Amino acid sequence: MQIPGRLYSNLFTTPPSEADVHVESKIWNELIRYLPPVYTLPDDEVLAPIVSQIPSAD
Amino acid sequence: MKILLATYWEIPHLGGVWPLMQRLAHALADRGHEVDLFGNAEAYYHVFNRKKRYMKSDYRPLLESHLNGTMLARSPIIYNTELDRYMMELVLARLRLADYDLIHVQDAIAGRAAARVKPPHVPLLVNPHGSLKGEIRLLIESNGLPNIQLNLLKSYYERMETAGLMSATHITTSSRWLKQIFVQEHGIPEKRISVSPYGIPIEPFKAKMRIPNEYLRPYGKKVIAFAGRMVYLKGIEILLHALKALQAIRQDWVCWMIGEGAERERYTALTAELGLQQYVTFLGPRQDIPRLLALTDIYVQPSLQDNQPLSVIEAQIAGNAVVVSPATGLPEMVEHGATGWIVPVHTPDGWCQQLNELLENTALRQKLQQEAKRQAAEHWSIQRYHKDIFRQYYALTGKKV
Repeated sequence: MQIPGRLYSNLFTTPPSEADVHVESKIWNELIRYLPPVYTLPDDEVLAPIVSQIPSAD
Repeated sequence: MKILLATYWEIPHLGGVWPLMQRLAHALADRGHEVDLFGNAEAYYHVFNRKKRYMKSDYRPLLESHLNGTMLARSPIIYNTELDRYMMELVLARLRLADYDLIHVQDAIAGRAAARVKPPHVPLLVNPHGSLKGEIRLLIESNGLPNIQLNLLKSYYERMETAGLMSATHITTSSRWLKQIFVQEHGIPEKRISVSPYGIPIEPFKAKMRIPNEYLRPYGKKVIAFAGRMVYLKGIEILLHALKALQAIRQDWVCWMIGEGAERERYTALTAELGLQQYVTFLGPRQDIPRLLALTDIYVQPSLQDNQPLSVIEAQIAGNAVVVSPATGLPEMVEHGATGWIVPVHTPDGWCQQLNELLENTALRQKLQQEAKRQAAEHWSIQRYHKDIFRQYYALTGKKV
């Protein structure tokens, strides 16, 4: 099914090459109907200050 | 109405929030409402009453593909908690949350998860039963993690808890202590938080007290009991050292430790090390707690942090002389000197003195027992508790329960 590219890029690391992306996934087909358009991963409101404190690997 | 009762924690589980969720669900169903019970399990999230499972293995690859390459992956505890939380969000999204009149979650993590995926028009009642930040602090203290990870974990859970509380349409909790934590440490406006002390079905509890089990009151001895999770924050180590001191003064008592938990083996070993095996018995998890409390003289709750443990409520209904630590939510559960006793100094010596006093002073002990039993009937009634909760449901939905 077709999903909005913006929402796709919230859940997958590969940015879409088109405005809409065709994704075959039984679970995704269910999720897309019910996830709000503003949903993002990760939850930056909680995590942004935390992630900045995580020590980087040397 | 259609209501979702949800928690990030595992269901079903013995004691604690699960029986409370079930009772609320039954009370609502009796009034003709539809209720779903949603929670965690190791391998799946599930809608318990519908026996519907959502396997985590179906969602995990999708989430890992996105999060594995991020900085988050360098902190395994936070990373795995986040994965679990996002899986909860994706599963909740599949439940058609728009069909619910109200979502009533039992913890701040579930609050944040539900808020991120629910439609704006569905009210969210967040009902934490403890201070997540406080529990994590105690857990970290008892595990001795290195400082940098410690501070990061504390910050993460604090932000998660604040976000979960802020996401609520309204917050309800059972103690004034917890309300003050939310106001002072998380910046939640006071008017957004209601306080409704717990209630339990008292007559069924009393009926179960009369069902005999394999235990008898030991001849010539008083029974001291603790019931709860065998974990650090319950302060059992302080109690064991207090009992060691007590044993040097008098020997007319035994102590029953009822429950299970991560520290049970360590406490059993400590009991042996202190030479208390003839006095202290670990009964493990039990289904006959009402009967055991019926045989108890003095119930003890030496917690380092606790909101409003059901074991203290049950002990008062059973007519025990209840002794609690001065920590957190416990002092507001008893009327000091009337329905229970608050140990002034939360140390082994402080507990030893108090237990010795109550074992020695029969008149005081009996006064506490009788008054606790008398006041418990109204104060801890399930009808009063549900009425409080349903009043909040009405305020949020405009629909009467």
